Amino acid sequence: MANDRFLKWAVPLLIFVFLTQAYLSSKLDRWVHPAPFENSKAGELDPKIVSSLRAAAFLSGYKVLIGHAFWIRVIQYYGDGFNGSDHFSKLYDYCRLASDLNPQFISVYTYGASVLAYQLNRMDEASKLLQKGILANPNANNLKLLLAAMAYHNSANYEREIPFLEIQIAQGNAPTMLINILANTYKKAGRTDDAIRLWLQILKTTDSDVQKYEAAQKLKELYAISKTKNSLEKVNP
Amino acid sequence: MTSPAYAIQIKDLSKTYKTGFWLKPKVTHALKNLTLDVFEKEAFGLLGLNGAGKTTAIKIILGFLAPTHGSVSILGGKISDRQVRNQIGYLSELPYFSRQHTGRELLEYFGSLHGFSGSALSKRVYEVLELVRMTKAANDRVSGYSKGMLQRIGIGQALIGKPKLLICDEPMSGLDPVGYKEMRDIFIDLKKTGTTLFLNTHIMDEVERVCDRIGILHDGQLKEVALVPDVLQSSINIDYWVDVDSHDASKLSGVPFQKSVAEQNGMQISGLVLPETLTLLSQRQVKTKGVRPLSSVMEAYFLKTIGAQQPTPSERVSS
Amino acid sequence: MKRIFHVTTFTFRELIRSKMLYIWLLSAIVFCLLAFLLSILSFGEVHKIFMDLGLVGMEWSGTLVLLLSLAVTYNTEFEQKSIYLQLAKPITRGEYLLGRVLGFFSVISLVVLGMGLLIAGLVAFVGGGQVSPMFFYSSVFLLIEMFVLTTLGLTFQMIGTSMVGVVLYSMFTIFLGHCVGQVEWLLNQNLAPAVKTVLRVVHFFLPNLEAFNLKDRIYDPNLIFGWEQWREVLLYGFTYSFVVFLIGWINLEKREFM
Repeated sequence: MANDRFLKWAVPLLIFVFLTQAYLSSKLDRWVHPAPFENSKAGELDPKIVSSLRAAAFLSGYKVLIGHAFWIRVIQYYGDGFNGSDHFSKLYDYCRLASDLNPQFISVYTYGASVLAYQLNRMDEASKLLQKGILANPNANNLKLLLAAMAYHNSANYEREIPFLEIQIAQGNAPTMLINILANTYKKAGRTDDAIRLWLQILKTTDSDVQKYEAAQKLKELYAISKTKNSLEKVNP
Repeated sequence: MTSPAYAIQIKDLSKTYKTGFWLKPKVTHALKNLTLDVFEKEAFGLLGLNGAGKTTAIKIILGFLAPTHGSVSILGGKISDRQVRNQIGYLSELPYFSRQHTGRELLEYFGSLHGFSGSALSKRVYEVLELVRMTKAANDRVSGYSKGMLQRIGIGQALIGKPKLLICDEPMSGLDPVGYKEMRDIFIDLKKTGTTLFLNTHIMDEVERVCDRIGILHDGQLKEVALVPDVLQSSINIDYWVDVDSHDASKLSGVPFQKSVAEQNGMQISGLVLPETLTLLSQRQVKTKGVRPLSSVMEAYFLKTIGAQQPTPSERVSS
Repeated sequence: MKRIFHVTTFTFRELIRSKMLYIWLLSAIVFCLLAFLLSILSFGEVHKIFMDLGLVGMEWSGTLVLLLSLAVTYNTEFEQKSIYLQLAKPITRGEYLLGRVLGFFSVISLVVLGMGLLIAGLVAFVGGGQVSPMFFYSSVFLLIEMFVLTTLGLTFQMIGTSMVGVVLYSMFTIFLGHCVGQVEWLLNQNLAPAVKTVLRVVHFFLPNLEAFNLKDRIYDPNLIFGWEQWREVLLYGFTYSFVVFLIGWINLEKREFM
């Protein structure tokens, strides 16, 4: 019962609609975001497993789901005492891959960085992981605070972490606690003027009387140090 | 005198199927130059063995298959015309429905496709349920229906649109004797209301009782078209089986015109020589226990037309 | 229009009463258990885990229901020939196909949205988080994807000659449809010109299912989601579905029911 009347106009219509969808399809690319990975190096992990996971995530449309599933593997890895014999050497790469797959999963950064920094004393890797997390999640203030706290405790990483935290503060909306920690880090690093600048910023911007009081106290203390420092510099230029 | 109105006009219809792999193509001629007219308000039976081309013919009439050659006009129009299809009812062989619906819902659905709605639809569904004697089971799911009930709902959906032309493909398939009789009664009632019937069948009894005319299709070719009364009154010869006493079986040898020689206690004989044979047996003092026809007139006519032998008693039993 | 509606409601009733819809319950249970398990392991972010897994669960249950429905109805309609009785009625084949598409889609939407409500409830009451608008947008995109897949599946049903074939074609297209989203990235790599040409052609024929994939990005702070994306993705989804529907319709008109 081929409906001849329909078939007469159906084919030209089909060609027209197909071309329209091809045009629309070509414009879709800007809404489709391929999954870029931090780098192609597998690090300490088995390259075959890493490539398979990346390919599956890249092609299946279930990147985040695979990320969640992989996170269980990361937890298992750290939970297995046998891996402690080589000080959990793969942990950073595991966390890096988990965060590639699921970049907005904050637990990867907080858990991973805390273990790396405070259990395994691998501050450098912890710092890199946190910085990656902050870049992927600019609103995740807990990551910034953690990084700032690590920076305060670990003078070895000042050169890299302090500028990174400054950028985060300069972008605005940084929690007062973050500025507070950075100011204290400046003080610890002997950069009194920078510390004064940050406490002045807190004094100007905060609505909290407690924070204003604290900032005033700190400034008094810092100005005293600054005076002594200046006079010492005059004596020993 | 007005010319008769045609319900179906088939002209020079052929259908060829190509099967097999492309290296070994096989061509099957399902229909060969079929030309046939079915008049309005008549009951027409298309007879044929399995594979004769009956279902192919129906599928082409209904537009499910495209003819390789030839044309079909139905109720004066084309099957692709919605108005034409609105006046047709169709029952396929062993109809099947979604198991999740009740009989009533199925009829409501098919009725709504015919344009019924609201109280008119409810009324029509009620009428059809009564007609096909399915009122009691109307609210049960189809999954619980027997074959006969499915067939009745099938005929119900075919009738829901008050069709002018009803096309049925093997409508008696799978029916028990009671269902068979009920279905036959429905057809006879429909005929009385002026509905044109086009039945595909190989059940001769159905044809004898329901149809006005028959067409015999064999190997895709229409061999014969005849009026049923003419066939029934024709002087066609049918075979008989003469039963004799077991002690007299040996006396049957040498009796002329035997078609199948006494298997044990009887012989097959042509109706043309039946009186003479019975006289001869009486002369030989053979005790005859009974004489019975081996086929109906219609069956004999059909078998003769397609060039087949009438069945022996053992074939009849096995069939 | 009325006849399309009748086919839609008939199909809806057929599918909604089918036992294969229990798959929805099964997938809901599986995804909830999985989400609970993950939330225990992940030390927080329960709402994110529920949302992420919930959206995947919505997609999977919708897809599973579609594939199973295609298999079940192929048997009823084509192998048991119930389509004959319907097409002999005064309905065009286009009306029949559109009615089927809408009937399928309404059941799948119900399954997807039912799962969505369950997830939203869990996020609000168990996860202690708010259900973000992105969850809603992502669900709408998922429904458009389901519409495209439904049209594709039913078109395969009109073309296919076996139940297994129809299901396999559909599954394969779903898989390729997700890969197609990454074709643009592949085109920017060092590939032979012939391969690039093939990729471009494939890009235009297969559905770009990644265009509907917001679920992986609902927490992405860099995502700029606006009217323009809505408009383009919606338009693409419906235009692609229309192309597929037309192919299905033409095939159904020409199909020989042996």
